[in-house]
Amino acid sequence: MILDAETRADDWFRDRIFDACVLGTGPAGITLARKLARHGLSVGLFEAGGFDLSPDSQDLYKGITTGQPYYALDAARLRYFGGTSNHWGGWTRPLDRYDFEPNPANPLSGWPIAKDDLDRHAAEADEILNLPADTPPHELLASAGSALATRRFRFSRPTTRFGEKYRDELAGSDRIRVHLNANLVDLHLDERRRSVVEAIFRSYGRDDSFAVRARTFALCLGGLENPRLLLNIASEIAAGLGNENDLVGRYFLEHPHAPVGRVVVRKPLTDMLVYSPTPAFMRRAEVCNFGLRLGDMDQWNAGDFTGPFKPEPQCTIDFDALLTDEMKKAPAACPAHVGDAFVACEQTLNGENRVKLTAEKDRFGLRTIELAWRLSDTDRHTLKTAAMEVSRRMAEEDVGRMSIVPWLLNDETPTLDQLWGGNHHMGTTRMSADPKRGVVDANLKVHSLDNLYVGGSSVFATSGHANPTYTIVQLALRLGSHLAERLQKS
Amino acid sequence: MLNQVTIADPAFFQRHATKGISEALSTSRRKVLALLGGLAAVTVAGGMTAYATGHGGVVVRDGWILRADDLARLGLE
Repeated sequence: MILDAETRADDWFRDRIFDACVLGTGPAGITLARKLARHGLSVGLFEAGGFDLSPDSQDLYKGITTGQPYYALDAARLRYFGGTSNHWGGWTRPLDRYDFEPNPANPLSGWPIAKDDLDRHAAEADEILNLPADTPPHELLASAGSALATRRFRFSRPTTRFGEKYRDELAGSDRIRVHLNANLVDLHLDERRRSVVEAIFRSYGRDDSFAVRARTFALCLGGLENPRLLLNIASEIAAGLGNENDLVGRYFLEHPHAPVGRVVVRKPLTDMLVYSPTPAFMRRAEVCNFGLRLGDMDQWNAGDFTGPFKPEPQCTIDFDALLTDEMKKAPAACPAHVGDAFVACEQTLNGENRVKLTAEKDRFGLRTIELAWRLSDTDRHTLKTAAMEVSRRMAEEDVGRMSIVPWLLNDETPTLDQLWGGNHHMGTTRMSADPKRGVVDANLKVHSLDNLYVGGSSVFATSGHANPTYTIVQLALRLGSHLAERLQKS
Repeated sequence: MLNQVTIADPAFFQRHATKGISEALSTSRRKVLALLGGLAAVTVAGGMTAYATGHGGVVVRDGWILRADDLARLGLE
C-alpha cells in the first residue's frame, strides 16, 4: 500500500505498532523493507519526497561544503521515491576481501565483519540490481601479479531505479505500508533513553506533526542525512543520538575520481581494464586501495555502458606513429589503441572530514549541514602511485605508454575539473565493534540504543575503491535477516 | 524523468573529465616523478629524470612515461 502523508487521517497510526519503521526509500530502505516483509513482518516505509523530483523536497538537501571543491549538496543526491538510485550510473563491484582488513597506511581501518558475511547475499543482490554473471577480467600486463590485480565492474542494466522497479510490488504489499511526503523531524526515546518508541514526521502542506510507533527503527537516509538526523535529534540527548563519543558525522569518505592521463597500447582495448593494488603492494607502497581504469572514457561514461567497447576497424598505423600523434595531441587515428587513464581510489579515515550542523535551519526546524572534505597526503600518494605503477609497468613490458597529468606529477591541488567525487557519501556513522571507534556495531545497531539501526553507505568502516551501491544492498539484506531473526524471537 | 536531464552524473563526468584532460595535457612541462619502490633517479640529458628499474629504465617526457630507448626511436632526443 502506498499512502500520501499530506492526506493522512487521524486513525492511520492509532493503535498501530509496526514491526519496523524504515526511513528512506533508496537502495537500502526498499531492500530492507522487502526483506522484512518476506519474513512476514509489518513495515512502515517512509519517504520524505513524492513520486518525482520537487523543489519542496529537494531544497531540504541544501548545505555548504568546505575544503576540496565539491558538488552542490542538493545536486549530489535525490530526495524522492527511490532516492539517489534515480540518478545512479549503475556501476557495481563488491568490496575486495582485503578491504575488510586493517591497512597500516589507513589508521582505524578494518571492519568488524568479513567479506563472506556479505557475499552470502550476493545472489539476491545480483537479482535486485539486474546484474549479469561475473566473467574473468582481461589482462594487459604480464608482470602485474606481484603488485596489481585486474578487476571487473558489472553494470546494472537496465539500471535499477528502486522506486520504479518496486513501486507496483510495494503498492500491492499487505505487509509494507509506504508513506510519501513524510519528513522525519524527531525520534522520541523511552524513559531509560535506551530505545526509540516513536518517530515524528511532518508533511509539506500541514502544520501538524504525526507520530509513528514501531518495535525497531532503521535510518536509511543516505550518507549525509543519516548523521544529519542523528545530530539534529537532540530533544532528549543534547549531543544527538548515538553521539556519545563525538563520532556521528566524522570520517566522511568519498572516492576521489580523477583522469590521470592518456594511454597508447599495442593491442586494441576491447574492454575497460581496471587495475587495483595487491595487499602486498599496498603495504609496500603504503597506499589505500584504488581502481585504475584504461579505455575510452566517453564510452564508459555513457549511461548504457556494459563493459566491452564498440569494435573499431583494424588499425594499420604502427604503434610509434600513434604514440607520436598522441604526444602531439593529434586526434587518435585508431581509437581502440588510444584511450584514457582514470583512477577512483579509497580515502584514508580522517575525523576532520565530516558532516556537521550549521546554525541555519530548514523549514522543519532541522539544522542544515556543512560537509568538510579534504584529501590527505596518503590520498594523493595513492592516486600518484596508481598512475606511476601502471605507467611504469606498461613501458617496461612495452605493451603501451601512459602519460600522467601535471597536477598529479607536481603535487598541485586539483580543481573540480581535475578531481571530483562519485556522489559516494560514506563512513559518517561508521561500523565498529568498539563504541569509541564507530557509531554502529557489526549488526548496524547504534551502540547506545537498543532498537535504532542504520542502513546505507554511512556505515562503511572503510570505502575500498568499489562503487558503494552493491555493498549497500548486501548490507541491507544482511540487516533484514538479522532484524527478522531478532524480531521473530521476541 | 527530470533528474536524467539535469543532474545525471555521466554527462557531468563527461563534460568535466574531457575538459580536465585537455587542459592538463596542454601544459608541456617536464617534471620529476615521486620515487616509488626504491627506484633510483638519474638525471639525463635535457633535464629529464630517468629511473633505473632493471629493465633499461623509464623516463618522463612531457608527462609521458617512456622507455629510455623510446627517445631516439621517436626522435625525441
